[in-house]
Amino acid sequence: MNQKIEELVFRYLCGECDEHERSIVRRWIDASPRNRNRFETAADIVRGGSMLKGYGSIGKEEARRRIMTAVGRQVSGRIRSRRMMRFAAAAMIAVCLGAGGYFAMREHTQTSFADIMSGSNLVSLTLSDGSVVELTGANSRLFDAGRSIEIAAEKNTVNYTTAADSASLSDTVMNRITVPRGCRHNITLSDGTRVQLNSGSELEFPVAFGAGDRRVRLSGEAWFEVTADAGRKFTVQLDAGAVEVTGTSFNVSSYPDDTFSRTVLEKGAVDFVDNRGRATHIDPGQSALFDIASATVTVGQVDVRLFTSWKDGICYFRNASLGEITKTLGRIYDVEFEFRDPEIKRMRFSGAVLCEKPISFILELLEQADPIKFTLVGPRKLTVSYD
Amino acid sequence: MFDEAFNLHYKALCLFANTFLNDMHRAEDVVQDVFIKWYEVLHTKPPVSKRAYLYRMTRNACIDILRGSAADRVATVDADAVADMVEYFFQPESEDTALLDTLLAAVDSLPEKARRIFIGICVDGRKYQEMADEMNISKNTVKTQLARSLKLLRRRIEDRQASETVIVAGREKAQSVMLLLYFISIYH
Repeated sequence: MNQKIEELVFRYLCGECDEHERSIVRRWIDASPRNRNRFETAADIVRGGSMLKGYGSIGKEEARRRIMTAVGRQVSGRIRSRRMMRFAAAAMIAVCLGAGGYFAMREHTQTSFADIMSGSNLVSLTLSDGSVVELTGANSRLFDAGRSIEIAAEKNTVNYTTAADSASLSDTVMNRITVPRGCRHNITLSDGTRVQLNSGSELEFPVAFGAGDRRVRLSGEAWFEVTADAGRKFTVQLDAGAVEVTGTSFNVSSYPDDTFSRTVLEKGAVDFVDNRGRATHIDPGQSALFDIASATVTVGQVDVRLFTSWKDGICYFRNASLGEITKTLGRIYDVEFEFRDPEIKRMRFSGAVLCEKPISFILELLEQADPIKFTLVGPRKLTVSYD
Repeated sequence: MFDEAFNLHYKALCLFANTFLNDMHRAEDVVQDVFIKWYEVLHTKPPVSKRAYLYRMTRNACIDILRGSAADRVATVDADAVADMVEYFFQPESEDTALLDTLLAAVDSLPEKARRIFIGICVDGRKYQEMADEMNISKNTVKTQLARSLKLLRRRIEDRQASETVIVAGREKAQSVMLLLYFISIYH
């Protein structure tokens, strides 16, 4: 349904068309049952306008505060409950069903995004002597620090084991694993701690842990399953704060281009420590969101699956802005988005990205849900504009 | 659970109450009192039907107010026509997402400028030129933005219509992820 007709129909419903325009609209309606359907939906919207009287002056947040004061309870940043997941599912289906209609309803040829090749970036390891090894996915074995550290590389993971005589190895011997955009990778540290790294992440870690505390440094996003050891605290250092644990499973997200860091706990106990050394304790099922600008930590109950599903290749977003969504898509697929009209960034969507599908899948769904258009302008660059 | 219901229903309930009272300030007061009372009910005897219950409480509160002051009464003839429209948009007896809920969510999701234009023209009934002057843009920009917004709103509503039959079929499935993949396998 092109823009001219869209405008005409609207003016028709407001009684602002002349006889000639009215007959155009009537002919268009009669042309097909689908047009008639669209007309009736447009009529619903125009009539719905009168149901929206006063919309602009509704003060939802003040109302929330007033209600909470009246029932005498603290406001907490609340919950992704099971009900919400079903509501999110409804929205997701709404987005997905567009794909079914897409093949039947498309009126003009669509730019093919198949031209975006799947990423060719490789995960790399930086050893203690500064040399960089690219992991091609083939099984291989490397050594570091003499021969006291054995590094076994397989398709999706890297395992660190210390040889018997490494007891004297200082825990300042560091390696770094770099997972570029478009990739994900796993690593098992020498104490058995398992880490899953998301796209665009880097982990710096000692090849062997000494008798003291275990410290690693993370930029990006990772899921940790830390080997329990009450005597040796495990700390994940971020640019925005740090996470301290003894043994547990949790997800940390702290990307350089984000304005926050988020820690979500599945099992065990963690303390999030901000840049000034203030600690906030969180329990399983909770998330600690650290806003860098205001240096405040907000703790809330969450559905952990929402924040860890990326490990299974599914990224949920609920009422997220298109700006946030394209940021995530950029990391998953290693592409860049440029917005022709910055207003579009604020459109909101709920849905899920299936990471193993090519980017064209989600882009076509988004285009079908709302009048936006993605255009390929370079090998890994897309623009976003109104349709 | 309380926050979830508040986020989902507060704005729509205010609009609903406003169809009776024609005074958004009072409408908000009514709805806030409904939520406060509902919070207490939640802890003693939670009602099975959440949404319908909230709408019924709101309607009753509005009717009480209208009975009280004769000046606010709407003429009987108009009241029936309005009641039908309200019923059609709000579906106050239903637990499902009504047309107005979808429309409201879609309007909420419009970018700020586009939303302002839509509200100005379609809700407040102002003229294109008025909006153009007030927002310091051309009349043509107003027309274009409006057409885009309508397209977006129309698509959202059409998606909802399509998904309605689908949700009914899928209600038994527990995992939302399974649901998602199930439908993808059919449609792609």
